[in-house]
Amino acid sequence: MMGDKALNVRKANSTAAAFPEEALRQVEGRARVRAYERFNVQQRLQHIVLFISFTLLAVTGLPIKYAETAWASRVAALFGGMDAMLYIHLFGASMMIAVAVNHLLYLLFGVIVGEFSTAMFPTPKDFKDLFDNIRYQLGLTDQEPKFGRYSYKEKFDYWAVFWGMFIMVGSGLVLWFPSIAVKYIPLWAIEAARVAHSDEAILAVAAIFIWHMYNVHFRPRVFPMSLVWWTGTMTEEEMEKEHPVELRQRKLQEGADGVPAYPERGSGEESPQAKV
Amino acid sequence: MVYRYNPAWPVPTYRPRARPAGIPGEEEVNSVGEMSSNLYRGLFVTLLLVPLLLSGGSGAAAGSTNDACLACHGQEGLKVQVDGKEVSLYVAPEEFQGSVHGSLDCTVCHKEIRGVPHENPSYGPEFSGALNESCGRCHADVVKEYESSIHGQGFKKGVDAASCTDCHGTHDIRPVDDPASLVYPQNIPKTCGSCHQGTPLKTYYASFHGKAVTLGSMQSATCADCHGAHDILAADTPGSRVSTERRPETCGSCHRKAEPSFAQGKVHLDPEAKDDPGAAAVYYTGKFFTWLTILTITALVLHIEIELYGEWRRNRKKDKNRKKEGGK
Repeated sequence: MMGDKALNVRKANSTAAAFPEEALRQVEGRARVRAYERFNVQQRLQHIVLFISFTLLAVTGLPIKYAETAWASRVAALFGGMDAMLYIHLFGASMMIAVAVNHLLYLLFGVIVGEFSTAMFPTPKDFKDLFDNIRYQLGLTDQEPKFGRYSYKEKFDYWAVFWGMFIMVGSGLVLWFPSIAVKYIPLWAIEAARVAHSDEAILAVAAIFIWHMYNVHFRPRVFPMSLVWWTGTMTEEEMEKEHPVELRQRKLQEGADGVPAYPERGSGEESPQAKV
Repeated sequence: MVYRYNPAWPVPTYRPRARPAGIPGEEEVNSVGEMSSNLYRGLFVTLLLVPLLLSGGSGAAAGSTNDACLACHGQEGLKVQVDGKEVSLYVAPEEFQGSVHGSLDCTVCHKEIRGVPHENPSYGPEFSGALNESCGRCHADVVKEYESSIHGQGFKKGVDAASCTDCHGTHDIRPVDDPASLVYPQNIPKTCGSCHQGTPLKTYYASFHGKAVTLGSMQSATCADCHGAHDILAADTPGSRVSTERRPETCGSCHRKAEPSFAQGKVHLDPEAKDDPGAAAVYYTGKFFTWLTILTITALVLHIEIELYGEWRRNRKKDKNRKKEGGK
């Protein structure tokens, strides 16, 4: 069954040469809908809960930082006053803490069942990739760096959130429960935690709205939006551009096993041209 | 000459006295507050009338003397020169009538006033002292508490310390739950801050308590929640709410299970001053995160710009090639 599909793809590619450019692109687009899973349901749900809680926390938290401004009072009024807004902030915080704990348990579970992946750990190649990418973008080389399972950008995003979570949850809990915190830390540390909470929030919001929005929405290759967060999969075409090293590894793996190791999205064989 | 209020005279429009900046005037008070204050005012007047009626209805004349006072003092711009300084003697009739004391005779508080023109009128601290006594005629226990406080003791010693009217206002005193009251939670920092400026006020507004109160929280601590109101004592005085002994109890009135360690260390830390190891730690925490943000975001924006430049460069190249092929 797998062989047939692969054959169809190959046929489409070989016959497509006769088609005009636009038709060729369509054929390839439809034929190559092999879906490669990037994020499983658990990971996608974690991302969804994370961005809902993040938005809630940013919207209810920023007015507190800028309390003296007119817009801050208007936002607070929108939530039914400062006290109500703070409770919504704490609700968002509970959500974020829950998803963080869930993620750590998920990793722990991965270790236990032996499926823990070290693909997210930084390697020397990531620094080389960064350097090569800048050279490629500036036109100093024609060789685009070839990324593996996670590019250096994705690793940066993951660890930035990891760091941010430690700072925000840590300082947030100190501010939420000062009576408990003061047992272990001096009084000035509570004020330092407030400063850290309020300043790290700006870093997080700026990083998400500038860097992350660019990477997943405004980058010409994905505009208007990369759907990986929702479907969890990438097509072969996308994989070739974004994660060629991983694609090659998977194909080798498939070749060795002789069975498709990954789920399919859409159905390539329905493409009429592909059947020619 | 008979001083009588002439209804034909123009009614002065409401103009707040020199209230601390930022406190809403009557026109900004929401209708709910107004309704409840009207309700209380009505109850207050009714209750006041009970003893008057029991004592034979001598209260029937109430108000008429006020009209006589307002015949002059209701005139906008009425003022005198005292020691080279201009003192306004104007009382906005509507403002006074809308205050909690609006139904009282002027002479209930200004009991020393005799004759027209008034004999030996007092100004400044002497006048405030007389008013403190007047307040004590009805609010005896409060004034007693005040007299033992740092404000009351200072006032007695001739220091320019707060008297009743400095915190509560004069002819514009409103119920404490009225957003236009000088001692409404949101207004307390402004009222206290009209004398106590500098580090305490600045650091309060920078704190979470201050920010929450600014945004309208009714739960967060104002100045009075920690320092007290009529019983304020200097922090190093035994018995002060913010003394080392009482601080856990004071914090504990809001924060459950307040620990004795709440009393260790300074509050109202000024990070800019760095006068304390704790303040310095707060200062450098802020500096660390500020620079972390500046450097990270700069690097990320630079990376985006480089990628977009690369994209633009490659597209331009592609267009050129296409044109070349088209030209052939």
